[in-house]
Amino acid sequence: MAALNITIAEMRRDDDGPHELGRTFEALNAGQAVYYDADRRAWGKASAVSTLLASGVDTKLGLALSSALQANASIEIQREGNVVLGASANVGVGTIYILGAVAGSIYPTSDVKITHGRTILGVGAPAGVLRFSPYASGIFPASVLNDSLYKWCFAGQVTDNTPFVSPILDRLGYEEVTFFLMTGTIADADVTFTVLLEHGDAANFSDAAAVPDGEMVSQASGAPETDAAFNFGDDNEVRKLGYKSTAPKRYLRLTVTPAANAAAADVACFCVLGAAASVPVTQPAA
Amino acid sequence: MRDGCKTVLEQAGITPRIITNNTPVVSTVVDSAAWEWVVAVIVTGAIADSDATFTVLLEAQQDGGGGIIPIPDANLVSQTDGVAPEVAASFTFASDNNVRKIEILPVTGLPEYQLTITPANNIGNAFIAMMWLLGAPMHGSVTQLPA
Repeated sequence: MAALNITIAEMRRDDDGPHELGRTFEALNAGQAVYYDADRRAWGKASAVSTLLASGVDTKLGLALSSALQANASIEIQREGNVVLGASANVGVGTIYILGAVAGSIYPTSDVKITHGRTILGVGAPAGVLRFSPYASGIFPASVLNDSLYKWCFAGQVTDNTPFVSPILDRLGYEEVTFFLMTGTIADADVTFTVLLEHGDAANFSDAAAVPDGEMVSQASGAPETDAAFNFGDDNEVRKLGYKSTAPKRYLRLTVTPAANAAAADVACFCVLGAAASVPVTQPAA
Repeated sequence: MRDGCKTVLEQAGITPRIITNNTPVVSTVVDSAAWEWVVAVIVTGAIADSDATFTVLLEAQQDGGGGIIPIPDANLVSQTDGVAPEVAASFTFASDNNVRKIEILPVTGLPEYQLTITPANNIGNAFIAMMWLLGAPMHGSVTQLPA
């Protein structure tokens, strides 16, 4: 399935349903789902993958009945009611329609993705009608961009046995913790790299201790840190290591230690703190 | 409970490396078929140059040898609300030890993507790496491959 393909000439508003006039803060087309931004006192295209506000939470949602070529144009918005979208829209009778990822678009629920906020727009009725009754749930089940914080751990070239040590990471407010490692060229002929994950409850890591295997998630079926380790033969490879959501500590630090290394080895690592308790997450630079 | 280790596949995009000039660095092509989401993650190390910029471009590969086309902003999710996705993922000489992320929403019929990082004004050592994360597989847990 795909987004409803709305032909403007076929659209007809529901005179009995509530509708209002407003101003836009961007160009938009008739038939697009829109939300009201109180700060800008204007309407724009709603989106299931942007902000809570753009998904309709704590604001008004509507369906644009007219197009706006630019910002600050006036438009008419249907707030609820039976809107005729026309034959070309291929509205499915009984199909529940939701806000889509492409701004302003309306998709059937079968197209909903794990990355989308759940905003229900209405139900399809006969004769190309959408029974428009929007509801913004504010639920973003697992949007990787909106509910995950990506933390820089380390990235660089080592020519001796100096360990790569990540910053101390604070997992408070996140259910999922996964470290992602990647190697580039490893020039040495017998170097090995061991991986150590430590955790603690003190922000300065004064109580740091090695994480028991049972509190980590392995990328394979062996010991987690062993599965994430690599050696001279592992040029251009990837590894990952998880910290269980049920594991008890708040702070984490990952260390990769070379041994017998006498040549250049390129290594990079980041951590995904996912399934945030509060969305959307603001991503800092590091 | 969500578990990134068992449900996310990590693929090398641009393996960690030092670049010293303005030659664009092109990632591997990722095939997102059978995956619900795709995120490109860029990790930087030390960037020695004092005025270099690094521009990010995401493209989709067309079937049947049709070449590659830029992915429209509407099919990308920005890491920063209100900033164009590829602009938010780009970086400069001041972005040492940073991380960037950008999500690609499925482009109908075009499941294969590549990312290009194009340096400008770069004459120093810049350490970069880029990874693909493929998430929410349609079938069971993920078997992690070495590359």
